[in-house]
Amino acid sequence: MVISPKPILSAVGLIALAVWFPVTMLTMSGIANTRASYLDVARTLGAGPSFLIFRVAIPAAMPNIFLGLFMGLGASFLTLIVAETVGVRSGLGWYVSWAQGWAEYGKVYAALVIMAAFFSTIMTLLFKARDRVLVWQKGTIKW
Amino acid sequence: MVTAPRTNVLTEGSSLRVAEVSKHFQNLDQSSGSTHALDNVSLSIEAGELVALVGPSGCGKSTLLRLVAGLDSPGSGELWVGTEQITAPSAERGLVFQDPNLFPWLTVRHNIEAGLVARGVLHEKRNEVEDFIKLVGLESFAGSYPHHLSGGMAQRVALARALVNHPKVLLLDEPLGALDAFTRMRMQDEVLRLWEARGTTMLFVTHDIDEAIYMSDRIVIMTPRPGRIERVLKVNLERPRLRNSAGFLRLRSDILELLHFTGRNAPRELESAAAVETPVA
Repeated sequence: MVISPKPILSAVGLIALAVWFPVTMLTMSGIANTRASYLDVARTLGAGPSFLIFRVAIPAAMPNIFLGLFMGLGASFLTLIVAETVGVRSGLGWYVSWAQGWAEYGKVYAALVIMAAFFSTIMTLLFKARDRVLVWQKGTIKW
Repeated sequence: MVTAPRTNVLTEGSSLRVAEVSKHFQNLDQSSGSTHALDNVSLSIEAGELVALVGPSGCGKSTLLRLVAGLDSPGSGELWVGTEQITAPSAERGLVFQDPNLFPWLTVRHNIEAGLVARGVLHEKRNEVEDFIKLVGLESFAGSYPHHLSGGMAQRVALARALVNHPKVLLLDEPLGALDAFTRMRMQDEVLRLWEARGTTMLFVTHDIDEAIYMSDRIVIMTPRPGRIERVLKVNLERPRLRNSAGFLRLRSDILELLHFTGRNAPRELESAAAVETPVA
C-alpha cells in the first residue's frame, strides 16, 4: 500500500504475494522430491531433459503443486478481505465494514453470505480441477 | 500363456564388455573416506547371453548394473556394448528395478509407451505397443493405473516398458525380489520366454541362488568390500531346468560353498559338473 500509487494495485500485489509463496515453495519441494528412480528409468528409456522435466518431474510434483494451490487460494481469500477492509474503497470486505459503520447488520450478513458462496464455489472448482489432473491418485490418497 | 507378437523379429543382442572397472563412493561423512564399491572388475558377456550376478549385499552388483546402464560413470576402466563405449544412459540398454517404478500418473498403456514418447517415435511405432501389452498378458489392464496392479503385473509392465525400445541389452536389478515365491517362479519362466523370443543380452542381479541357476547361462559370483568377481560359473544344464535335479542341487551347494554359507570355513574343491572359469581380464 505504500509502494503502489493505486490502492487496487497494492491489493492485487498483496494477494499475488500471498499466493506466490505457498505455490512456489510446494512446487519446488515437489520437483526436488521426485523419486530419483523415476528419472533413472526415464533416462534408460532414452529420455532427454525436456521429457525429464515435463513428463516426469512435473507430473510427479503435481500432488504437491495442488497442495500449494489450495494453500495459496486460502491465503488469497484472507488477504483479499484484509486488503478490502483496510486498503481500498470497494469490494465486499469494504462493504462489510461500511455497513457495520451504519449499523446495518442485515447488509453485513448478506455480504458475508455472498463471500462464503463465492469462495466455496472457487474452492469447488479447484477440487474439480484436481480430481481431473490427479485422477491417477484416486483410491490411493484421500484428502 | 501369451503368443509372441507378430512384429517380434529376433532382435540381435549385443555383446557386453566390462574392462578393469573400479568405482569408489565418497562417504557422506567426509572424514570416513570412501567405499570401494568395485575393484578391478572385468567381465565379458556374449551377445544373447543371460548372465546372473550373485553375491551378498554390498558386493557392488547393483553398482555394476548402474555403470552398464550408464547412470553412473566408473572411477577407472571402461564399459563397452558391441563396439560402442558406454558413457551415458541410452535406450539401447533397458533397466528394470526391483521396484517396478512405473510412473503412477500414467496408465499401463502409457507407461509402456513412455520409451517411444521419450525417443519421439510414438507416431510410427504406436501399433507395437499393443503387441507388448499382449506379450506380457495385460490386455485387460491396459487402461488401469499402476496402483491397481499386483506386484507381478506391475513388474510385467516394467519389463514391457523396457522392451518396447528393443534394447540390445536388458539389465535387471533383482527384478523379482519383491514377489512372493509362486509369482516369482512364474515370472522366471516369463522372463526366460521373453529372452528366448527376443535374443536380448540379459544381465541380472539376484540374491536368489536357485533363480540364478534356473535362469542363467553363466553365474558371476561377487564378494564384498571391495566388490570383486570371485568366480564365474557356467551352468551346463538343459533348459527347461528341473529345480530338483542332481546337477541343479550340486551347483547350488557349490555356490553356497563359494559364498561361505555351508558352515565350513575353507572352500573345498568344487565337485559339480559346472565348468569353473576364473574372471577374464
